[in-house]
Amino acid sequence: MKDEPVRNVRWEGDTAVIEVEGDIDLHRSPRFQKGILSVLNDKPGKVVLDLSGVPYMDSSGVASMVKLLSRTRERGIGLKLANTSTKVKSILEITSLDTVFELTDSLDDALK
Amino acid sequence: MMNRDEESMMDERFSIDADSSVLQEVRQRLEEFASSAGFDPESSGRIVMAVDEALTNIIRHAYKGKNGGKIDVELSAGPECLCILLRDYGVRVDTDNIQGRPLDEVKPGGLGVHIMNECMDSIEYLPAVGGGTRTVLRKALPDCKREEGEK
Repeated sequence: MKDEPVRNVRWEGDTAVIEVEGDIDLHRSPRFQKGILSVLNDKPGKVVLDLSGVPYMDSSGVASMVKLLSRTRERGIGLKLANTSTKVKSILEITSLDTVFELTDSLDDALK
Repeated sequence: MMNRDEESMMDERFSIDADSSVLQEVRQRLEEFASSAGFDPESSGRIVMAVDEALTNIIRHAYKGKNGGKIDVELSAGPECLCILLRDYGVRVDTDNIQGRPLDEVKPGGLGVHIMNECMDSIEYLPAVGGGTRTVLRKALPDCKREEGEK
């Protein structure tokens, strides 16, 4: 398991693309949350979470994404989740958050 | 870390540290066990999700996130169901307070119990002799596996 869940943040215009890596569970969600929320300090117009490198996420990881969603909504910033794995989709469905988050199957779709 | 003291094909027992760093290894082991018991990848994934949430709750609430605690894990399959027993030695849980929250409000936290209830057929929280709690999660075996056992 990699140490830092946020592997990289890159910019496509004013969109911050946050690349996440590894399982997000109780062990790593505090660093995941810190990493994704800190991007808001750079005042993006839009945020895309690229979850292609995340095979698994537990409720603590989902809670971190809900916190990000809440902060982005407060600031009028769009948020999309790209490339969610089957297991991450599954936990979002079970918690009825699959209709709350905007999910896209590719990074290209998320950047449109 | 993980200490294996007994293992057979459909019955495994091991102990883990009550530390979040062991969860990934436990998930992998659970997924293999559920798969070998006859569950398809989707069902195995849901069982893993439920047990992961149960272990997270034990680490967070029974041991209050402090290191040094232990959790005994017992996996058994058959003839009717997969059974996962998690025995902790921490603060005993108040079972009246273990409830999932309504999902209509979008807010972080409180999702773990809902996930456990959705993914398993039953969950019991039993006081353990000498202190701590026995958390028992059950899931009926897939039909084909049960029929095999009846032959």
